[in-house]
Amino acid sequence: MSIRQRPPLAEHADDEPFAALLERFGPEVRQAFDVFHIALIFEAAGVNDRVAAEEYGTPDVVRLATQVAEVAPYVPTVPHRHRPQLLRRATDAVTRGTAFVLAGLMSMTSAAAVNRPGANLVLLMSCLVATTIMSPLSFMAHLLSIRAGAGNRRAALGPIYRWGVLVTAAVGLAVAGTAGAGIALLTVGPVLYAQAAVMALVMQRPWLFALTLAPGGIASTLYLMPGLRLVDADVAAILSIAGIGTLAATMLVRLSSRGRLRGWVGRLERRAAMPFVGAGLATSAFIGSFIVCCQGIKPLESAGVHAWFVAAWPMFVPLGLAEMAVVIMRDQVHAATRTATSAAELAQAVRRAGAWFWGAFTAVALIAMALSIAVQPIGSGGVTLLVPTAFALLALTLIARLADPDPYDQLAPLASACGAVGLMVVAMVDSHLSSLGSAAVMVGVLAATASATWAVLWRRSKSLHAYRWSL
Amino acid sequence: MRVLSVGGQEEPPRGPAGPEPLVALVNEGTYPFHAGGVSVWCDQLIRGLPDVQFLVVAICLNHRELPVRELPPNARLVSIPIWDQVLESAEPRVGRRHRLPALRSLARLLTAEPAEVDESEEFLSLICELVDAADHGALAPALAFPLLCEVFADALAASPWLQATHHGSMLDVARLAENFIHILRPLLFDLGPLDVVHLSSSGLPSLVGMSMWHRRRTPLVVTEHGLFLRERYLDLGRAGGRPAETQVMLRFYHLMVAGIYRAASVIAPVSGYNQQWQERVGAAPANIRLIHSAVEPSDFPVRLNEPERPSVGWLGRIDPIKDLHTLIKAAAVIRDEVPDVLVNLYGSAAPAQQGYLRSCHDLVDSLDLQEVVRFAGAVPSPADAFHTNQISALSSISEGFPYVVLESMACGVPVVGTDVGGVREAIGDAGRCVRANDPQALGAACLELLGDPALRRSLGRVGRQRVENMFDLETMLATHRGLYAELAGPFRSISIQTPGQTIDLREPAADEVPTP
Repeated sequence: MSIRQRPPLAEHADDEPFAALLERFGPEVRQAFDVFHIALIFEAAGVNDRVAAEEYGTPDVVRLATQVAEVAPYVPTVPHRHRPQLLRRATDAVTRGTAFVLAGLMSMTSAAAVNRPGANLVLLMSCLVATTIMSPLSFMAHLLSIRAGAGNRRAALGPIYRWGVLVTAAVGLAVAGTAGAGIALLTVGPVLYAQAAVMALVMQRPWLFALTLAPGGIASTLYLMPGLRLVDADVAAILSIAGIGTLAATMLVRLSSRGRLRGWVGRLERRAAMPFVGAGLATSAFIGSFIVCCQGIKPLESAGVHAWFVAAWPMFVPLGLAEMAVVIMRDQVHAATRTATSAAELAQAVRRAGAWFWGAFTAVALIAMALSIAVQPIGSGGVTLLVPTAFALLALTLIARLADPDPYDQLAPLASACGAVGLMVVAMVDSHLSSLGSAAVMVGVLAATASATWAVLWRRSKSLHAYRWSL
Repeated sequence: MRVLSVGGQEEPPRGPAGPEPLVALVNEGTYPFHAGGVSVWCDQLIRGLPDVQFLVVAICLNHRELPVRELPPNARLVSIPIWDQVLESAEPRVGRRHRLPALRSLARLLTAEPAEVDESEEFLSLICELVDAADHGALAPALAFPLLCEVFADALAASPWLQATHHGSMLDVARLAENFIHILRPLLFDLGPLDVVHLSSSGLPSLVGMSMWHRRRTPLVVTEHGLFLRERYLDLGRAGGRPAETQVMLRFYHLMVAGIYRAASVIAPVSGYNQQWQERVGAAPANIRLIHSAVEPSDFPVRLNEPERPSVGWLGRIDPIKDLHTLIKAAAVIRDEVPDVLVNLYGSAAPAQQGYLRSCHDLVDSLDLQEVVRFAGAVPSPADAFHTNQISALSSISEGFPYVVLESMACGVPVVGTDVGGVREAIGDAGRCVRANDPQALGAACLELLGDPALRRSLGRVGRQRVENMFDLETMLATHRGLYAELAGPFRSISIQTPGQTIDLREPAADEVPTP
């Protein structure tokens, strides 16, 4: 008989020492995988061959285990039921998403504060650089936050910090040399912000993350508040202080960290991060298109920042809701991996969760767009109505980043590219269409982008890629 | 597939036609990257046999690990970093054409209900098929996450037993796929022509051994210090992982160990205890040759003056398997009788065991032993640690044939150890052996020795003699030299039963038999 099989009969089941042994080891024995495992549990507790012979009358511990196994059959552990901490995870997700939104808002406010020629160019550059850097850095952060244990997270900041500072310094010097120190400061602000946010995420320090959000958020809020108008110089000063503050905070964290991270970010990881540079560029292209397309929107500009705020509803409203939906979707997939016993069953669950998520997002985005367009001044041109669509597309890009099992892998660049192309197309054809026609084209662009990202998700579910969510 | 391709920094070794035997010494997670018993043994072997050329094959975490030991001139290093992260986006695109039937069969074997018959033959045959696939460049692309998911998903679907008794689900499939991407990587590497492959464990080095055994018919020697299979059972059982995943991994390890015992020309356990377990797993007694671990007595001078303060020394890595909780509880038992006793713990904890170290500190605090138990950290020389204590203690729940026992005895310091593994075999009549996981017994044995200076001196003398007579390094080295010389000759024939036929896997072609 194979030693791995449970034996047919126990000889000593009624013996007192044997009963005591069962009493002592019963729970562990019932969870043991085979007779070997039981024997090893006994040995680790001091019941070796000698004890088995002297106290239980069996030739050795394996024979003793064999007898115990017969009267204490295997009872598998009931798998731990996954209890999602929805509130906490949703809060985290919303906070992360808000960071991206605020980064953009901060840049927009910066540009608005600089009342001089070339400000939009600076804004565009800073967005491009920040997004391009943010993508691979965030990917690294994602890897490191998964791999680095709690005691190793500070050391994990090293690679991010080195790369971040190097690129920030290079960008700052280049802009300072060509456009002046003030514009250079505004350019590196979002970059520093992005870097600080990533580091705070790796550290899993909400307070530090909140700290990085606070200056930009406060400055932007103050600037947008009705009746409280800061002069441009004030905002520029606040943002400069915020940039220097975030740099100082991250430097403090980095300098106070001890130990050297060995072997975490190697050649393969760096190579793997390269596609995310591409993802960053795609997103930058989208943001760039957005800025370029919105250059000539005089009605909104003249209406003040509040009109911009209304125009941005299609980003903020669905983003807030979809952030929650992402958490729910991931939890549904997570739970499905624990119960599904076939690839088809899991793929179906992934698609169901994905359809719910993307459907909800698209519906909310469309409603927000409709409301935003409805409250625009009567007689606004089609190009003005482009803005809500652009914001909705931006929201889609941000959400795609959160929804992808491998963050920043495929959905985000796809959504960005679709959005950028869509914006350009709408801008080009807009002069030939009525407002209603423009609105219809915009809705079409949004629906097409959402469909494309959904198609990627569908394909991924078929290729079992969604398993990554569970690891 | 490349010969010695790992890292691309090594040149192929010279062939076995050279004047000195060329031995691949394969280990996992130890020499030369980490300290410990196996590292000591590897170092002893390489430095002690300068007339043998060694190719040290280190299966390690990733390519950024740095050696902590310098290799002697007769050794070269090849590392196989199996846990280097290969990410989906960094991998070449994989498709249906990369599916391997052998991987599918392997997954089915591992997920099926254990059969009455010995399945190690079938396992070995499948590994041989995978090695052939590696030689044709087909294995590397097949070790991709989506393909392995597919393989294990099919196997799970075909195993109602795993679903019903172990709650197997797609999460297990994902985790298994993630594991097997890494642990099958050693099969990808061909070490080139060698005289002998010597495995220092029956763990993942076995896969290197099996691949060389099949690929080049190189004879294998398996030395086991701690029993790999035993430790995996304890680790995985303790980890509280998912039942189905644990079951499949244990099955894989079990079959791998049984398979390497089958393929090895010589199994060389370091203790009789190991030998007993190897036979239980399926090792043929005729292939087993017991070669005890050993120390060089002159490296461990006998203690001249015993410290006056009653003291107990413990040396090792701080790890749950060393069961320091029992030793700390035993310290409380000793303190009750000998209030001025000092228990010195020499050693450090790996980053993963910092929690366990904290639990030890907490236990010391809760038992009010701050003045009794001292965490002394790592020591440069083990002899110093033994010399500064009256006796040594070992509280492990699992051991192979521990060096600390031999070293302590060589220093003339009596040992109180737990009766696990080869500890009793090592201590013999030179100390005391008590039941594992029993603080009272451990404390009582320590008290007996601490209270009787004459007994300590007597046991110390016996211990030193025991090391000189039975565990002498020269004897161990001479045995290995003879073993290598013996195996470097023409190979024995070993056959494998596969369904429908008997394949003689070790029968060399006439032109492949090395010239004597």
